[in-house]
Amino acid sequence: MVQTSEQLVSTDVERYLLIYMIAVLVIVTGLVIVFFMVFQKRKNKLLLDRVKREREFEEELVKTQSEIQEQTLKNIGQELHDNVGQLLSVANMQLSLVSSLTQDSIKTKVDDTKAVIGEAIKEVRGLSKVLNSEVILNLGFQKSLNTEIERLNKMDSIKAELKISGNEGVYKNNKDAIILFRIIQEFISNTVKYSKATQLTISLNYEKDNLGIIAEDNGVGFNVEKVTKGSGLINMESRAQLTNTEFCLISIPNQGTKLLLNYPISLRAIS
Amino acid sequence: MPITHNNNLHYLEVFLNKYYALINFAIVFLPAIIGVYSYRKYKNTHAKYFIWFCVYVAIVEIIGSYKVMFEKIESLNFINSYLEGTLLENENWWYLIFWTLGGALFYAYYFWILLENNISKKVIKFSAIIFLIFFVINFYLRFNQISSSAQIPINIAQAILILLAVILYFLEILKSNKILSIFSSIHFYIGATILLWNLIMVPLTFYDIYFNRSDMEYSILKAFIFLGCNTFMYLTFSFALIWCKPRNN
Repeated sequence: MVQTSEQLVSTDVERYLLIYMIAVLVIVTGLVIVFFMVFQKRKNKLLLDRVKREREFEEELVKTQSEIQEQTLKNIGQELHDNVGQLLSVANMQLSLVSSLTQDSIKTKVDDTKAVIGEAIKEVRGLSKVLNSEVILNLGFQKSLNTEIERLNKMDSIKAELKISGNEGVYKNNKDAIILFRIIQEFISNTVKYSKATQLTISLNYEKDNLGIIAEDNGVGFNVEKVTKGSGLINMESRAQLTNTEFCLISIPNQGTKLLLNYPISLRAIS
Repeated sequence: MPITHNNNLHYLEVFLNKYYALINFAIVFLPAIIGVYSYRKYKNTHAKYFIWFCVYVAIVEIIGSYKVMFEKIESLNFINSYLEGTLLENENWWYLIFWTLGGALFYAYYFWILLENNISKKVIKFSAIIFLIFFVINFYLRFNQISSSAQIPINIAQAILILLAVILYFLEILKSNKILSIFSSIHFYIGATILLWNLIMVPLTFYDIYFNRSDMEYSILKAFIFLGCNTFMYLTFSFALIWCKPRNN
C-alpha cells in the first residue's frame, strides 16, 4: 500500500484479488443455479414415475374388475344353461307326456304351456350365450352382437337393428372383443331399462385401421352432465380406456342417446 | 484487469466520463419501463410489488444523480457551489436512505410475502426490524461522516438481511413442489440476481478507501464492476419480466 498524502492507493494484488473474488462468486452462484436445475429434473422425474405407477395400478384394478365380472357372468351363463335350462327341458318333456294322456279340452292349454316353456328354454339358452365370454369368443364379436339384437327383437317393445359397413375385419385381439361387446351390452341394457326407446340401431364401420361403432336409441335420453355417473357409465368409460378406444356418449333429453366408439384395430392387434 | 498502460487508462476514463451515466440510466429504466408495460400480466401476482419497486428505483436513480446533473447542465452549476460544505455535497446520504435502507426493506418484505413457512417469515420480520434499528442508530451516530467507509457496517447488515431472505426463500422452494416450475417463476430470477449482486457489492465497500482521484486504476475498475453488475442485474430483471409466466396467487 502506498500512501500519498492522506489518500490511499490500491496495489495490483488487491485489485487482482477483487477480480478473482468476483469471478469466484459468479461461479458459485452459477453452481447454485445448476444445482437447482438438476434437483428440479430429478424431482420432476420422481413425480412422473409416481403418476405413472398410479395409472398402472388403476389400469390393473379395472382389468381385474372386468375379469371378475367376466367370470361371474360366465358362471351365471353356465348355471342358466346347465341348471335352469335342464329343468325346463325336463318340464317340457313331462308336459309332452301329460299332453298325450289328457283329454282334448285341457290339451290345448297344456300345449300352450309347453310352447311357453319352449320359448323360455330358447330365451335361457340365448341369455347364457351372451353372458358367457367363451361363447362370445367362439361365435365372434359380430355374431354375438347379432344374437343380442335378436334377443332384443323378441321383446317386441323395441326394434333393434345391426348395420355393418366396410370390410369386416377379423379381430386380432379377443380380449378387446369381449370388452367392446360388454360396453355395447351395457348401452343396450341401459336403453332397455331406462330409455323407453322404440328403436335401437348399432352400426359397425370397419376402416383400414379403425373400427367405428355407433349405438343409437330414440329414447328419453338424459343430461350427461347432471346425471350422477352410475357404475354403468363409469365402467363403460374405463373399459374403453382399457382398449385405447375413444369414447363419447352424447345424450339430449327427449332426443335419444348416442354412443360413439373408435377402436384402433391395427394398434391393438396382437401379433 | 491489468490496467497498467497509461494510455489505455486514459481511454477508459474518457469512455466512463462520456457513457457511464447514460448506460446506467438506460439499464435502470429498462426493467421499470418493461414492468409498467407488462403490469397487466402480473396484476394478480406478488410480482406487481416488484414492478413498483423497479419504478421506485428508477426515480431514486434520477434524483440521486442530482450532483452530476448540476455539473453537466451549465445553468445549474451554481447549485453545486451552494451544496459545497454541506451534507448534500455528497449524494451518499440519498442512496443510503433510499437504496440501502429502502431496497433492503423492500426485498425483505417481498420475500416475506412469498414465503409460506411461518418460522421463516418471523425470522425475516425480526431481522428487518433489527436492521432498521441498527440503521437508525448508525445513521444518527455517524451523521456527520456519511462517507463510504463509514457505511461498511450498514452495507454488510443490508447484505445479510437480503441474503437471509433470498436463502430462506430458496430453501422453501427446494422443499416444495414449486421447484417444478421454478425456471418460469420471476421470483427465482429476482432472488438469484439480487443474491449475486449483494455478494459482489459488499467487498466493494471494503475497497472504497481507494475510491479517490489519486487511484485512477481502482476507480476505473470499480466503475466497470459496478456497471457490469448493474447491467447484469437490470437486464436479468427485464428478461424475467418479459419471459416469465405469472401464476395467480
